[in-house]
Amino acid sequence: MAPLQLEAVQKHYPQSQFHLGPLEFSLEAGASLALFGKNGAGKSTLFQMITGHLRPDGGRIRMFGELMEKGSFALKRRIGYLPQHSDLPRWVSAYDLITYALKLYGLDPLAKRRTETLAYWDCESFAHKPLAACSYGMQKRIGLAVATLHDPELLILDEPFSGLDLFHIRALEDLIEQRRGRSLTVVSTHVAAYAAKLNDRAAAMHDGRLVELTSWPTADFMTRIQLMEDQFFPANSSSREGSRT
Amino acid sequence: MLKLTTPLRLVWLHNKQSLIRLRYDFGREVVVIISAITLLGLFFYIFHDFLHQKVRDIPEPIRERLIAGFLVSLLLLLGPWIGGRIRRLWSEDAGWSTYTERLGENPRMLAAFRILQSCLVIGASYALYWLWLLPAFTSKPLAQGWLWQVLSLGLGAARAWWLQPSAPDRRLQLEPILDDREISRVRTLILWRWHQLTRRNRLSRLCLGLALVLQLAAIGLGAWAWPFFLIILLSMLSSLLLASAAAFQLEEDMRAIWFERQMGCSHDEYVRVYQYLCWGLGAAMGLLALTGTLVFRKPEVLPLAEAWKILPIAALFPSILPSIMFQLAPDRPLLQILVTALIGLFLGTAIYAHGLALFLVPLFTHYAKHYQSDNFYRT
Repeated sequence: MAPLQLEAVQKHYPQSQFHLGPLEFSLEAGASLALFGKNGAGKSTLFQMITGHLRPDGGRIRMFGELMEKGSFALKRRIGYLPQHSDLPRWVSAYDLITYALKLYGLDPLAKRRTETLAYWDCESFAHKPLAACSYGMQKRIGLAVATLHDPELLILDEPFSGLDLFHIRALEDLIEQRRGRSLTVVSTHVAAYAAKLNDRAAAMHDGRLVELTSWPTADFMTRIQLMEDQFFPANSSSREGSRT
Repeated sequence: MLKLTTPLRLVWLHNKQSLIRLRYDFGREVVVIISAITLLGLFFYIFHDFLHQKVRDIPEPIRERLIAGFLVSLLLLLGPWIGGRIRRLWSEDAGWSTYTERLGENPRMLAAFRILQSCLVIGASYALYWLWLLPAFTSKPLAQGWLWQVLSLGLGAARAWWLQPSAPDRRLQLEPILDDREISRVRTLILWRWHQLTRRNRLSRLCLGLALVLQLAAIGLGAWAWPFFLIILLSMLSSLLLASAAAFQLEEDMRAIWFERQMGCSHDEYVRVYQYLCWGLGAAMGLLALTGTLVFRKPEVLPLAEAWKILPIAALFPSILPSIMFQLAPDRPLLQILVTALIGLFLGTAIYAHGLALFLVPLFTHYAKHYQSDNFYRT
């Protein structure tokens, strides 16, 4: 059984007349998926439903063989999620936040893991500063640290590259690379180069519908970028690609 | 010669924008304020005779001093509030004036707009106070009114120019709030909030400090044999401030609630944390109030059968908050405080009128908790 399965998942927002789905989709173990689409296409809504933060109006989400429901708290702890707007508490430090997250996940040895996490995301120099005094990029790294410190079986990153410098983008690339073939990773990004480089599957969202790019896995780097661009500028593409679900 | 047309148009746009914000950003607040006024009317209708009797029991000089104290406090608070608004007008990055400046408007025009708007804020606020609020409470002129007015303006100027809280100091280093000892999940959640409430969240700390000062003042008034009704009122206010401290922390939590949801924090777990904190704070304040009352009471004036009521009343408001915090909007502290104040006023007055009304509190909290179940994931 695929570790992530969407079965006719739907969400409707009557006020904005937006309808997401029905979505049928599954991801095999160790896959790395790039998800992209226009602003407002429904990517973040889909992520919120997968992570259990939002309840679908119809359909089911299965994760690791279990149904994602309102009381699936143990299942939620197996996911790492960095939302697009990853605001953090203002008057705590990165050190505090990592300690708190490690305690809530029940991870040991706490001090060693905290030191490693802070070091990996290069947060040591500002580990004790209030987060309100940290720059956007620093806060993004702390958000990434919180989302990944428990080595989740499913990692969902919504626009993780924004605000990061090249040095820390490399750290994130390495992390996604390390997970490949081992755990599931879903990355939403508008940066075609990173999507093409890091993911072995890709899907585009169009007005609440999911289109998988079927030739992505066998395509080379430049072709993948072309495939992505074709989703945004279909008039320029020589051949439309994808299977709508 | 500087033409006033542009600055006046900016003043108009600036204030129109505030009205639009009131309609779209604070729609829920407006609805709650209107509902609160309606319910307050109902409250005074229900408890009219009881309250009238209690107010009549307060000696005339004390009543006058209380009204004067209340009006002076309002005037002194008005100054810093105006100062804050003016400071924002001159410094905020996303305001009309900065936007217009970036479009290349003459800086003198913008200075004229800011001066006009500042005058409008000062004039309108003090006019409301002297012409509407003051006559609503007393027919007598405020003693040394000019002195309080000057002091209010001085406090406003201080807030506008010197005491504005700045962005956090980048050199600031925080002490860790959690140690590495192994503790339970709920205890971690509680300690995390407790330390923020008492060490990090400035508004919450201010509310906690004020609540303590008010409660000590209430005890002090009891020592001077002031009417018990007034001590109860002060205790209610102090209790509301405790609830406000928790409401401000709740707002802070909601800014970044995604990571706690991600860590599988359940609605029940989260509400339980606030219950522990609020009930603990309430119990501590209630015991302080009761101890103070018992130490200074004169048994012939205040029998024990009446004095005990201060315990549940001083503990009441923070005890209500966890049951209603997910009913409306947890990220809007003003709403939380308004609703808590209203419910606390009903229940507190009922307990003061008759001790058996205490049984209404568990009944209320049980049903209120039921109605907000699972809202942690819906907000």
